[in-house]
Amino acid sequence: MEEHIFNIEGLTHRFADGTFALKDLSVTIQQGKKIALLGNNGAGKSTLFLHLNGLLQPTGGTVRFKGKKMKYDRKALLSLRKQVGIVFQDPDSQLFSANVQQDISFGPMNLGWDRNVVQEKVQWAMDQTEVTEMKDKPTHFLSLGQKKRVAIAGVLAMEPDVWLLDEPTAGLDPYFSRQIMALLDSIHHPDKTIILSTHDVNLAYQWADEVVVMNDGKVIYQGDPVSVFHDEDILVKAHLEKPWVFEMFQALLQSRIPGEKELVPRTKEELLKKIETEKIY
Amino acid sequence: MLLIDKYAYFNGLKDVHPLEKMIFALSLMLFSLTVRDLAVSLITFMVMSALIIFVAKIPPSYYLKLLLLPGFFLLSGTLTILFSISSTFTSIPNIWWSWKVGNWQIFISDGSIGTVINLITVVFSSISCLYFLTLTTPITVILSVLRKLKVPSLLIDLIELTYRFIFIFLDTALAIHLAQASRLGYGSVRQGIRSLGLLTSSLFLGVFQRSGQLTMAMNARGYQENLSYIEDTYTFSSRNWLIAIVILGSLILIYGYM
Repeated sequence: MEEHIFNIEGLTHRFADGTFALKDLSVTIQQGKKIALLGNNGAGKSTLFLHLNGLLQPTGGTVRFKGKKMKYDRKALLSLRKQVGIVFQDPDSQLFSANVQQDISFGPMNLGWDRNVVQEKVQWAMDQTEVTEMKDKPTHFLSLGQKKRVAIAGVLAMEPDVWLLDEPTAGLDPYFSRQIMALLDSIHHPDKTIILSTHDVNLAYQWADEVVVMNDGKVIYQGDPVSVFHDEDILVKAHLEKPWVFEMFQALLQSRIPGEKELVPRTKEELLKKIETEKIY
Repeated sequence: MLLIDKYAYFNGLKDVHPLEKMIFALSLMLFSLTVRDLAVSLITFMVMSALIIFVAKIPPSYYLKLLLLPGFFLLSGTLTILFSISSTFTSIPNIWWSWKVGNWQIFISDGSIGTVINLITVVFSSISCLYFLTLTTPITVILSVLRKLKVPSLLIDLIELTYRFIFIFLDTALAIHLAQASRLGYGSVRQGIRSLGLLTSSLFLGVFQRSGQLTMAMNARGYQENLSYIEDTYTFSSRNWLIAIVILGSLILIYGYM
């Protein structure tokens, strides 16, 4: 039986200026999934993340974490944030300590771990994100890509069960984008849930177990990462393009012998293998 | 990026224990401020400058520029001390230079020359002590020492966040300035003033937005009452302590003999 990490019902968020960021949004997040959150700019993805970390309080509706209604007192929030880690889109808003190692150690120290444990976790997180060599540098000496990795390391060192990543690969070169995705694969575990917002459909398509599409403060799709790209309505609404592997496969299917329609390839390697073994060209 | 901050991280003395540097610089500064002696001040200034240039390896031209920074304040301060005005009927002993205007005279007395020279040397010796500290020790490290010395953590956290924000604002201001300049925002003086106004107002809005985001980010990582980190480790060196004691000791001896 799959456990529900988040149960969101009718979540509404209104900003002080009267605009709605989330409107009656309902979604259920299951434990152990790798979820890609897609949607056009301004769809409310970042606001949803802030709600999942208890950083914002709903104007209406409820958020349940592990079956319990979220509470917003100090103690409850602290325990929530021990389990749910968030990586912000703009690393400058997240990094505030003067040097890299100190910034990464901020979260673990707040968890009240023993100093040796903190040291160990920080070192491990720095190794994983390849930032060890800049550990004594102040954060304002780093490039955007480096800051982004340090921000991820700062959450990694806290070992949360649920990861919220707001566009983790935006602004990174292909090498570090791949590193980050590989890192997410390596921390993925049946107990860990990863929710990642992105505009990169190719990344979402090949990485995710499940895709959630948002538009105008609502969830308009939740399901497998393949069928969403058959639904033109959703694609137009959420400003999404089809992943190139998917598109290529559709084109191959149309022009030549249809192979097994059910097994749509999701990575370049799968597509190439299919072309080779099934002779669909 | 501020050069002074960059040197603090990359200099010949960066691995020396910060407490050693702080005690050394501050004790020399305090001594020179209390005794206000010409020789002591000059020696302090020379020792500090030599350490900054030869040991910490800060480029002399940059150090010279930094020394000129307080020059303006010093100049305006000393001029008022140097020149005195009185009526021609009062006789003043030990006049070194004077100029009569009607019933008044502007003059420089031997006493005021002495005061000015003393002031200048004391100022430069204490400035060189402070530059020694700021050019060789990053703020973060100074803060970690203050933390160990049990300075209230609220104060330290404030300094730390202020320090971090200086760079965020510099970066933001530079980026806005660049964007304005690329669209001819500084083409004429008039436009320049207008652009500068816009820059300032958007920077202010930026401050509020940033501080909101920062609060969220800190809360997300379980911020409670104070900022706690693992500290960098430095080791005390008995050689450095010896050098510091010898320098301070010889200064005291020199002062005693004079």
